[in-house]
Amino acid sequence: MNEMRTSFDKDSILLGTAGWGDKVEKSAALELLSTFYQHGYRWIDTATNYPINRNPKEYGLAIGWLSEFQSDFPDLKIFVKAGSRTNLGEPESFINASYFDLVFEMLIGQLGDGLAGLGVHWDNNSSNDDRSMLLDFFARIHHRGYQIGLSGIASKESYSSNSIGPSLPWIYQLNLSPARGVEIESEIADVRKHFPDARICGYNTLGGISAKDLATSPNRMKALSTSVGELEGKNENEILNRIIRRALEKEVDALIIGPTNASQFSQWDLALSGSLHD
Amino acid sequence: MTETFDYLIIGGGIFGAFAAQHLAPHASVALVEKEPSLLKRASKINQTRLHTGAHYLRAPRTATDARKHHDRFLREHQFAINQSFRHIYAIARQGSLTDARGFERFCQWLDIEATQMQDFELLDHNRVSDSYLVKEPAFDPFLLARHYAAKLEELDLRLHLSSQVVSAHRGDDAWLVQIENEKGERTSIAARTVINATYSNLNSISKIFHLPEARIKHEYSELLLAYIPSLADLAITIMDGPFLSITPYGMTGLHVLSSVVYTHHASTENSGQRMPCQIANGHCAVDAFDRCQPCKNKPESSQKFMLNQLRTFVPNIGSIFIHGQVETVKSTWAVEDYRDERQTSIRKLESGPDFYAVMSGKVSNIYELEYIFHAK
Repeated sequence: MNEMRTSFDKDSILLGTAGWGDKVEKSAALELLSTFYQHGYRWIDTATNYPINRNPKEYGLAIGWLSEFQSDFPDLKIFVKAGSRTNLGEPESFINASYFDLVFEMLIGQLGDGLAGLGVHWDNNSSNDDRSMLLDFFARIHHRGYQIGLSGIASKESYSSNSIGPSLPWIYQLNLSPARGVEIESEIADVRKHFPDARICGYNTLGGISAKDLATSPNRMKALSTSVGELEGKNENEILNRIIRRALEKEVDALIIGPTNASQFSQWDLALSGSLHD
Repeated sequence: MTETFDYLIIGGGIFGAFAAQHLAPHASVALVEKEPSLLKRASKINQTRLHTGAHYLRAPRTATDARKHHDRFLREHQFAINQSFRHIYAIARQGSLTDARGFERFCQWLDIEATQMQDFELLDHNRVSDSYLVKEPAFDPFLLARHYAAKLEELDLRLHLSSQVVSAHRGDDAWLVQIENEKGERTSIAARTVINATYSNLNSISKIFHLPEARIKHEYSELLLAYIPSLADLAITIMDGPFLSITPYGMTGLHVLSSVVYTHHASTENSGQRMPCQIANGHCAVDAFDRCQPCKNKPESSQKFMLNQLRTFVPNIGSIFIHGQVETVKSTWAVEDYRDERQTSIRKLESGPDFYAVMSGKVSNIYELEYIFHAK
């Protein structure tokens, strides 16, 4: 039996960009990216529809900024999720092989060598429709050296009940929100059953708000109709440490973190290296 | 060692792939493609409109060629055709080179059904006089690429992907050609017939074979891709002049926006100067183009202007979610702009050994290649 990991290496940490263009202004995003990069981290997680702020004019803004910034960060590795054609936060998604072929072409144009992976973002079709062409697309780009991923898919069966899907080394994004309890374990087991070679990547580690906010304004969590659970009443450092410990306990392979400014990231970095004391 | 083939096809776009598919069962065939896969450039980066001809009022040859092959292409490529939308042709009130009567007469001449629509609410009727429903579907370039890749895989032919012709000279009864792959490895081929189907790179290949060049105009072109909920089952083309088209991009669930004024950023002819982006990137020649999509020197996007123009004609369009743009070099015969011809032309530049130059126009014109097949 493998021993539990005690920390995440830097290649297992992805900087989340869901708040870019929404909670995070452009200058703060650049400063955050710069600090993240200087600390030796390289992986970015983004999506074609970030920020999900209901402003159609800002669809894809986060990727636009990354494209603009990346010349200063030459070996950045950007993992992009696609599928939702709007940034309205609605369950609309359009998943077929042609759509992904096109998005892939456009992302190569936009991010060049910075594009390191592509994943499905929200496949709300719960039917077990044939997805062999889509899976064939992912097998092809994986063969070319790109990471491939799944996030928010309604039917795991539709991706695994064929010869291609279960054999692919997906990065499977899983909601680690503090509001979720034991269902996380059963979801991880389910992912392992359908996709034995998948790596689990946790996201939503703070339920969408900062550790500081969580520490100082627990009512805010209640207002968001979620439960703080084990994090209630803890200070900021304790919260970050517990989030990381929780992810390690659940044997998550990688973690998307969502600091909204450089100083929040520095706290994360200390926590990730085990140097942040409660 | 030199391997001898009946045919060497240069260019793995839809014209080259179709030729290979038809020739390989009866002859030995080699196909050389610069990109790592088939149908990568012009076959993919376009409006994906399966032309009936209605769009080409000022180009009767292009229109009749499109009309001639439309139904057959539709029939033989059903798996890649999107017919789930209505295509509206609207006539601009100002600046149009045709009017409603002219458009109707042209459609009658081409035997295309154009049904006049009343009060099509999305359009600004101060800017358009009449609108027509025309049955004009879209093809999916990705499904076409898969189809032809699978077909060629089944056949006994030599496929050289990520490879280019680097030298050629005429032997007694065959062309002697050197091909180089991305690793710099060279292969020698002898071919009794060469088919040059490289589209925008047509002249650069002719030059390698020491054959006459054609007068070709090259335009750097940008197309915008967007999700537009109000156009979910619609395509709109504004006729006829410096206007625009917004049509479904194959089966991707997105629309492609093309503007006569803003899509084309810069142009050149083979005898002329390089475009500014070519000069800046240093490795594109006046008649040999690399992929524009990842190029750092491509011109600034015209997105803003294209969208403004779209909203002018379609003010009630609602939300537009821009997904990005695709860019490529479009090539046409260098004729006066008002003629607007985009016809396919096959020229036999040399006999015994033979050399054909295929200047491809519309996707359905692949059947024009049968001229070469029948010649043999």
